[in-house]
Amino acid sequence: MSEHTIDAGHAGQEPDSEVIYEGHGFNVIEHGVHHPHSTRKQIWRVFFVMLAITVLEFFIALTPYTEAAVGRTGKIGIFFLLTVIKAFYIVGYFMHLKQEKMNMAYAILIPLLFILYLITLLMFEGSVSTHIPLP
Amino acid sequence: MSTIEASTELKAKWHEESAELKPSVWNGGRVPMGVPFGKMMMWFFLLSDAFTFSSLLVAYGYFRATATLPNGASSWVTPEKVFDGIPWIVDGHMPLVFVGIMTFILIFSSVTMVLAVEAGHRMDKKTVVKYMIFTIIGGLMFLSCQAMEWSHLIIKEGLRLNFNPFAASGDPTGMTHGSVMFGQLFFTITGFHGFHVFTGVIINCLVCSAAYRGVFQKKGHYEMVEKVGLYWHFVDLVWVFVFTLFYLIN
Repeated sequence: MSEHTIDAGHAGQEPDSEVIYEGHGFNVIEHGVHHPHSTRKQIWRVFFVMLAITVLEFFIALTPYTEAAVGRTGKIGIFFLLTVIKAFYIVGYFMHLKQEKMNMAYAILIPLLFILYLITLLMFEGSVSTHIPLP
Repeated sequence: MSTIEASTELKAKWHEESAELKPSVWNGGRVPMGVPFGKMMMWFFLLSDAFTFSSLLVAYGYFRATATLPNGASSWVTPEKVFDGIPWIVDGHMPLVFVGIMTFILIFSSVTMVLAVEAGHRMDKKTVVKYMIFTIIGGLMFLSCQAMEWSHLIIKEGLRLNFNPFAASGDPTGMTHGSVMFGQLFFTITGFHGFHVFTGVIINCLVCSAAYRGVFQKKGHYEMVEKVGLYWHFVDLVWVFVFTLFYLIN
């Protein structure tokens, strides 16, 4: 450890999340540095979870059972739910956003609400253009 | 004393004083985001890119929902008809198989990327280079698949920006809003995503060669691998949404 070890806001509680300045940048020391095997295990676990979700999506898309049970809207809802779960795994585990400080995570996640805002707007106002004849 | 001299003196004094201060929230001792500057900016770039892609995908949803024939039925093209088979190899009756392979390739290259990042944390140069090469191969395989799909649709099927051969039965011209928009949105969105994969492969090549030459070993950290990793995972993330919207929903 260098002499410039500086408290990242969790001193005394989580010694694993210390920030150490090294050269130009600095590395957030994660749990994985101390247990490389468990990190690699977790990466493969996440991969198999995502593979399982994709296989489930194929099953729903290629067999008529789901549509018969919950209808087309329900099927699309399930697809969106599974997609968001996959996105959660990619952002949280592959991009390590779960290991970042909450400040960082909120700075990235809160602006994404604007996307929901755009979708909501178009759902209520989008029908306006259906009155305009399109070629 | 001139103004410049005075300000230089003030600056020197400020530096002297601030050197004595203990690190605290107010003088930069704590890092509000807890990440290096470059990594934070990569996150913000990806946030802006997320807005670009989401506006494209929301536009897709909007045009798909509003595509109607005069009789009220949807004029949107059935994706199963378009993506039916393996381009240039198997003709028809194998929906989702090819795109499933593409999805698997991209998710797998994401895994090798995150393994390279993990090896970077351990300062394991050899493993970083190995997994980066796997990631580059995955990216090139994905791009080849996309080239196959595009060339098949354009050359063999005759899908154009202003004409769709797969048009719904109520649209014999293949040129109504729903039919035409399908091709336009498909080529725009998968093209934009493919361009991201392409740049990702190039950046991966540069970072891989730097890692091989020992640049990061000398620097003492593999932060650059983490940054390019973030970009690569984002490309995978976008594909997850493109896959659902274009291929899964029928």
